[in-house]
Amino acid sequence: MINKHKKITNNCLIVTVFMTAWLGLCGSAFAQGENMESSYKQTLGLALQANEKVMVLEHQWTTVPVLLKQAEDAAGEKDFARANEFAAEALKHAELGIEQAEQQGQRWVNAVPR
Amino acid sequence: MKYLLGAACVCIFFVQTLQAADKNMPGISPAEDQKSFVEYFSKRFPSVPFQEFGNGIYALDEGQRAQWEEIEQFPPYEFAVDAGKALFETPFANGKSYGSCFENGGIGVRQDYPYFDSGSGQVKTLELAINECRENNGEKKLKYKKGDIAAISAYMAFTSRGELLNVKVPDEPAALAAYQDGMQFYYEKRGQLNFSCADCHVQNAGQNIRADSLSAALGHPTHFPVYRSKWGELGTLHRRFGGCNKNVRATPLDAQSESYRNLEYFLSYMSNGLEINGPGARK
Repeated sequence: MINKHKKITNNCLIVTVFMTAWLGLCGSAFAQGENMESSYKQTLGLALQANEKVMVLEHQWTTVPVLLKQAEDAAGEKDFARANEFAAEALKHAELGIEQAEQQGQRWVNAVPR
Repeated sequence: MKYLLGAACVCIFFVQTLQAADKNMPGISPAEDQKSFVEYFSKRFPSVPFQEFGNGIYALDEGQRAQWEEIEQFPPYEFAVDAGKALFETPFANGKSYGSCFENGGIGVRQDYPYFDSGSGQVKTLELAINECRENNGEKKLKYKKGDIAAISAYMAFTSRGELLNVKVPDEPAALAAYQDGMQFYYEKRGQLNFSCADCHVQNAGQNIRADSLSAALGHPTHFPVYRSKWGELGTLHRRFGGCNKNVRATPLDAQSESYRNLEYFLSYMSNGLEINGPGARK
């Protein structure tokens, strides 16, 4: 009888440990998802800002709207990790366009045949 | 007093040197720029007569020229010119027609476009003037890249064949600024491929880019609007600008945007003295 009780108690303990671990994992995954979504939103904000600037400079690359659309689509599927990657790539391309505009504003004269 | 006089002389010397240096800066003197531009192509292609540059790549490549001459025996733009003539002559609802908006009734005027309109402080292209004419007569604007506007522009170019391109940059700061803006656009690298218009059509004119041969910038605007086999129809110069921008992965600007109009202004000024031979046929 005592052995049976001990066995039940052990089983309960094991189940509790597993439940706790499972809940912990779920919680951390949820928290990670939340983090990923917020970092995607942050990156997207920066990318949109840079894109606006590069458009004013008339140096937008055709890749930027495509990457932004891909980011949007991935976010629509709740795949925020992928969405964040696309947004980060869009940001990079928009920033390169800005840099190109700034550099070329000085350097174009060197290409004029004299 | 002696020192003051000496200092004044030094100052005058420096100012004169700076002014001379300024005149050599691209964009400061359109006439000087054009001279250098034409000289550059004359040196690159010494066997090509000046007027031949209006024929684009067909002035530089014999094989392609032979094909083009055969195409020109039955010009693919002929129907568009007829359609353009019909549109041009059809009166608006108010009874007026396009002819009422242009000098000489719009016949043989292509060579004077684009021009700088001091009143609005903007470059006026032929297509913009066509649409302004429509609006002033109570008609809707046409789309700028193809269709009716290209046909009307083609007819107007056709009536101007043989006239010499005669674009003027008046001695006004705004006109010079528009010209300089167009010039900068032409020489600035853009897009993911980091190419400028000049990379292909100045520095590498006559070379191949994959299977295509690059035409010289000199003479580019003389044959527009153009029937491109790739398009299977007539298109305007701004449609072509957009296509070139896309090729280097730069987002094209709107047709008739200020930057494209300034670009056309610069490019047309560079080709001054060449005969209007539009509409043209190209690959």
